[in-house]
Amino acid sequence: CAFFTGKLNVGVDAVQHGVEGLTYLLTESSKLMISETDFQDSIQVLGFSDDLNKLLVQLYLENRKEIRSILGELAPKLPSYHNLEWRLDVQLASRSLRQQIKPAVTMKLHLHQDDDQTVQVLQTDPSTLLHLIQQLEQALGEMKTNHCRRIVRNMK
Amino acid sequence: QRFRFCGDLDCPDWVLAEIGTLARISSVKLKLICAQVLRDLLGDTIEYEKILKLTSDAKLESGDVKATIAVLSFILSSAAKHNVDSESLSSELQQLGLPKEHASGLCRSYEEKQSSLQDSLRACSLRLSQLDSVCWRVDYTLSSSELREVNEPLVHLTFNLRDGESGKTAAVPTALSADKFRVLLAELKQAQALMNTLL
Repeated sequence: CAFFTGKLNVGVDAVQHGVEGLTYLLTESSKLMISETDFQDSIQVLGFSDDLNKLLVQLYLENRKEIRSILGELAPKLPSYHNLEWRLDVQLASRSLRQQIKPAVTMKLHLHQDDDQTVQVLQTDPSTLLHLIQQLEQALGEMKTNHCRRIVRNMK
Repeated sequence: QRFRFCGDLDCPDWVLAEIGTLARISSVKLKLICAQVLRDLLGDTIEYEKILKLTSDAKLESGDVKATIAVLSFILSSAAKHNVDSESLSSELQQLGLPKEHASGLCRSYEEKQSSLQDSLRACSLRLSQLDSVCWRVDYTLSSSELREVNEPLVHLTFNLRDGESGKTAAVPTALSADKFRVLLAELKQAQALMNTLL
């Protein structure tokens, strides 16, 4: 800010307000994804020179995509999958009972949430694991139904 | 088509795509790059500048160099994971389109380090916690506020557990009377005998 104050010969406050105003203009326009003509009409009201208006429109169009991708990352997120470690064990004996055969799958689920890393340890027997896999495959299969296909087609 | 080094599944598309990049490097240089990748897989630091020098002849971009390292890491660790011998690996890589000298150079490096790779993979398998050490102390209780003459031995045991995730040790202290300690010892000896029958 001090650099620009010297160059433009205005107060620090003015420079700061200018930067904030420009930021607000660009983020709101990018957030609402307004067209070029709408943007031009909006800034006509401010009474700037034609050159400045053209410059602002160019600035908006060039940076719109990047600003939108940055704004997209600001939305709240749930913990997301990072890694799954697993291990297959067989319990052969315990203090109370010998000569057993009891298979078990132990899993460690690593989750990430905006720099936070959590770990969940889970254990299941193979039949529950097969049921889990079946349920997840059914969920994936939903994407192939006509209902979902229609929505995806309309979104593109 | 199923490949043993992919765990009897199809070869991933990205691996197929990068076989072409591997073929662009000379087979001698590929063997040296393999040695570097094996160092990284075994826990040593990888010397990235050496790899850059070795790939400079083939005029690979930085993205291609990283892809080369990634595909070699995948092939070597996946082959070790599924216990594939080096001849089968060589023939499967040639089926994917890797030239014969490249495949044999790669498999020779793999064969040298196969057992150490498998040992290091076994060591980093999922493990929830580990017993670091056990400390003990035997005391003799003379008397207490409840009874004037106690005269009983007491064992203090401290188990130091290392958490698999963070590597931090936690101490779990316990105190046992002589009878309880004898029961514990007998049960643990039975468990040890069972473990010995499996070794």
